[in-house]
Amino acid sequence: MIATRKISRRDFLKMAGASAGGLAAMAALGSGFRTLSAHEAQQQQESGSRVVYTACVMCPAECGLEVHVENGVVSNIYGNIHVPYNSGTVCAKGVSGLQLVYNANRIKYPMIRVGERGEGKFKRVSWEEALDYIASKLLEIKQKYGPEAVIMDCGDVTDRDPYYYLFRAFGTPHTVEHGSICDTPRRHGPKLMFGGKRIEPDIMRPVLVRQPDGSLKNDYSYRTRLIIYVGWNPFTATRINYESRGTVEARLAGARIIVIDPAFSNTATKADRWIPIRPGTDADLFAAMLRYILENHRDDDPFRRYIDWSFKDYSQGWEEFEAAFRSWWNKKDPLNGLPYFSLEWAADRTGIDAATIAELAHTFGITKPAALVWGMNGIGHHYNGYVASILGTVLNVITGNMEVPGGAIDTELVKSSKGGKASGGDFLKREVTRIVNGREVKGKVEELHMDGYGDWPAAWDDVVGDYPRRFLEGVTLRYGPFRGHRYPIKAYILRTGNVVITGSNTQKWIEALTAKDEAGNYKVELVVYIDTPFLETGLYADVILPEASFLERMSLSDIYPVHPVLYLRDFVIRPLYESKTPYEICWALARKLHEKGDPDIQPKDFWEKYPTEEDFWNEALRVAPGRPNTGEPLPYPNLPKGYKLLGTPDSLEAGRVQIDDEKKEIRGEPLTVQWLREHHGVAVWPMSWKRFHGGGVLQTDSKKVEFVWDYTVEKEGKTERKGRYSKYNKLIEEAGETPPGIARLGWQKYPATFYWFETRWNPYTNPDYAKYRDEYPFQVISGRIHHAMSGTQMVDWLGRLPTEDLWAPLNDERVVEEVVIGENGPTPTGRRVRIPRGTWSIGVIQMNRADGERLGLKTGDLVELETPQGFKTRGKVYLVETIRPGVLRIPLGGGGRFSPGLGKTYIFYDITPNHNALVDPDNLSPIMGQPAYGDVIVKVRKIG
Amino acid sequence: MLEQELWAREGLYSLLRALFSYPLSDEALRAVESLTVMPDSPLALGLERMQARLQEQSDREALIELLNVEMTRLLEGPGQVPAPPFASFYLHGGQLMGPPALAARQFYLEWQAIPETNGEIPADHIALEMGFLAYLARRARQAITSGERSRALQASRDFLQHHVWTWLPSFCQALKEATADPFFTGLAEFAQEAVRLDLEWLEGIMAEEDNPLQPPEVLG
Repeated sequence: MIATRKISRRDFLKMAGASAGGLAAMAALGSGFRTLSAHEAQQQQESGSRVVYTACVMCPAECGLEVHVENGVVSNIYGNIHVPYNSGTVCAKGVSGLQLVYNANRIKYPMIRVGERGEGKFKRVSWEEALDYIASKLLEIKQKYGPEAVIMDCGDVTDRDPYYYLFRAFGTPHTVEHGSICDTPRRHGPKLMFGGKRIEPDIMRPVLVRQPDGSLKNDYSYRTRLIIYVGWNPFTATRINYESRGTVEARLAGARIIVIDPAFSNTATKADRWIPIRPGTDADLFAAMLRYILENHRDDDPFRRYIDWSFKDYSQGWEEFEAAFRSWWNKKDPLNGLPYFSLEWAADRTGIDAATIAELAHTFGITKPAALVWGMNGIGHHYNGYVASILGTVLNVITGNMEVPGGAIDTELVKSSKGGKASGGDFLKREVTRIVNGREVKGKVEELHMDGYGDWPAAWDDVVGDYPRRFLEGVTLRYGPFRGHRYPIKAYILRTGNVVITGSNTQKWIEALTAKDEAGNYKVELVVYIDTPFLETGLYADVILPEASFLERMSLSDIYPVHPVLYLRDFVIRPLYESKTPYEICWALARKLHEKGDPDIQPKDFWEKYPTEEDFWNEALRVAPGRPNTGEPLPYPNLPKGYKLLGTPDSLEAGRVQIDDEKKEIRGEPLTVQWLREHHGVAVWPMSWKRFHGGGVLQTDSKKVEFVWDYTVEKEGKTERKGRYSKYNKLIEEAGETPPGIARLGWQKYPATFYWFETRWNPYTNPDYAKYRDEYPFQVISGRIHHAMSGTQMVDWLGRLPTEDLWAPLNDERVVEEVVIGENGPTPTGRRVRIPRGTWSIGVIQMNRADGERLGLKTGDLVELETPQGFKTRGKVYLVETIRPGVLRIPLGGGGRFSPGLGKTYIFYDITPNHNALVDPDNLSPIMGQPAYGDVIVKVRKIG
Repeated sequence: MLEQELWAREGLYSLLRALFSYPLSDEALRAVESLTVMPDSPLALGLERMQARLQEQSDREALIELLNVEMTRLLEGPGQVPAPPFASFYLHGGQLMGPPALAARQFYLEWQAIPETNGEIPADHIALEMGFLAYLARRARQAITSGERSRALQASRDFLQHHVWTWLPSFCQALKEATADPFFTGLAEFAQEAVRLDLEWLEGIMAEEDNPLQPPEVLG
């Protein structure tokens, strides 16, 4: 308090020592306030509580949420009990959402760079100025180089449709997402053989099931008898919420859980058995299991009846696959001299003894229902992950575990459809003309794709890990009508991603984003960063746009449930500051492009077609659930079997439908945002099993499980090429040119059936790298830090919590200029704060204790890791017994974080290890270009 | 005499609002330049610093650009914001949109006032709080009855005591520590002193009037 009531009246002007006129004149500057009527003021007062059902985006699991709002402010976040995917549960990340929304460091306004890229100097500007800058640059690039010189990278969370829609309309085929820097090799087997993506155990509960009496009931029973998780840690990794609680419940119900992982993960803590495999040898293990099953299966012995031959009813090509697989059995491995896929061979490579491998194969073969499930940090991150993924898929199929209750389910094939025309796919079919080698060529927009018709024809997820090279060298199309067409990449628009830290090698990305041409201009002329948090890639942007946080925007979620479930992300509060929703950003940019004369952006496709945000998302809902009425029990027994289902669950249930026999479609009342709001934010259609068994869910050419991926069929006297690889092989044959990725393997084209090749940077399995074994004795793998992901490290509640020996309170003492969230309530700040040693979790290097002691290390010592290529990073070691000797584990994206937007995590960037600093930028896996994050070897040097 | 004082207060808070609003305008900077105070005025130190900075550079456009870039860094980010201009940050454990923001908004609505930014910017932003004080000063100046004027002044005092002075010194301190630019160190000094002396003046006038608190009148 400055004064007391005893003070006598003094003249304000005298106190201020100012003249009356001087100050009074400034009243003309205005107050920025206006007066409301009493009624208006009453209306403005949002008092009391309300509940909004929405979907999380604190991580890519995107659980259903029930959010409470008090007086207009988000007060509490709970799980939505009506969404079976997470069934009312919510994790530490989810409940911390309000710390992201109300974070002081979130991006609040549009900004334009004023320094060099990387310096982090920006100026706040209006939306008008920011959009004008972007639109002008985009049109300039379009005119000079074509729209294909623009990339729209939509990052790691959903809500991508408005961006896809706009940029596809603009004319670029490069509308991409995070998948190709996540785990594409892991998905390859299901994609080739099913047209799917993601095999998960049937442990999402409850599931809504049709009963014999015709009613629908939630089924809470766990039928699974065995789950084998290989390099998959659902308790910590994101995406599949139900696998953590489901695994525990299944085990309580009698299932056996086996975890195969070099490190004793959180999932391993709940398992019956942990088998520490050598990194990069998952394919070896699966090959040995398959060989064991084929050699030891007996139809007439119930204790060795591993194979359920009924799989042949809904598959084709098994004989060719098996013959190709068996053809390796007599070959000898050049490193160990043992026959391929034998138990001894696998034991030598995997570090798991032969008896254990045999027991594992036997157990998997004999226990039904079971699921073999593999993950992103293992198989997804190795150069030869494709081989493992194919073998794992085969093991699930031939043992009869696919699509049986309690078995394995490819969730990609059975989740609800969404997006439809709102994804802008129609724009990719537009015909365009280019001059190629002096010749006018016509083709479709999609045929300009730098991967599909360039270096990576089989990469159905765009190859983001190879972007730095294309930024520096440009693109040359090798296949399709535009073969020979060259173009540079001139604009990179990134939304909710952080490629500098997570998209292959960090230094390579920085080099590409800051490279200049001979005239001193940046090679990539326009870099735009759109997000709520400010991550490292934002430091290299020319323009920053504030995207509304997940509680301030609308869209849809449907993350890999075992049957169609779709839920709404709704406006909990209106966007704060000057942030805008994806729809608002895209529509505003579309208007600007249109004003500037872009002929591809027309009102009829944008504001006239979808005048409100809700209109747009209603379009995206129009295709839901989009799956056939199939399986056992039949979801809708009163509707035609095998027909595609469209519409709300209640209209289908009540038979308020139109049946189109020609299209084989059942059309109920369209699902809408409003319908979802009236039903706790979620639509749930019934579960069924055995959907592969003639049910129409398989997305292969034959609509069967395919073991051969390039084959011919005779149809009306004509021979047609079929199979997932056939269209790529046709392109290769027409062009007479092999893609560089597979040329490196010595292949001419993609194999028609089983293939084998080794991973790279592995001295134990690949002869080319055996020479590094002694000097670089450690293999480096990555793990996930559940609480502190790239986009949530700025949330202090999460950043300070330890996770799985990867994120531990090994900080040294530092002084920061911002507030620590107090344990005892709000703490007045504005002063420097000391973070004492050992109180804040940071990314660490997990190391086996015996290895550490041999090197004279103790927990907390600072070490430097160096690869044979000279890539380095540093961090503190954390010695544990629970990791395989010779293996180091580092959190992916956890350390070396140099964006000041990360709050306190940022200040420790110099003592935390950046895994991607070590990754070989040229080690992109050969078929889909995934960076091989798990193929890294290092030597260790103590530095402090 | 009182009316002149009320005009001056309105002008002072309008100036502070303009100086904490992005972007800094030429109009606001000219207002700073035109202001004169006695050498012993508590406002002198901050004002001199700002005025000296404005005289340093003859290229007006370039100067405004430089100041706005620095203001972006200090108050807007991106990334770690050295001096977040929100009360909640200082009073609510580093988070925004805490009880101080709700309380400020509630206060505005009780006076049937609403910022032109509506609800997009949390109500405890420094520019909004300064703007509201300018608004209250105008209400006091334009008051038809002495009771009405007294209520507006009392509200100003309450708002300053409970919603501004609780965090303004921390914010000004953070601002001064985070920048070497004399315009912003001067602004921090100027703002803190201006608010301090107005609070002192309001205490004085309230003591003199000794008028019990009345609810605001409904305007219609």
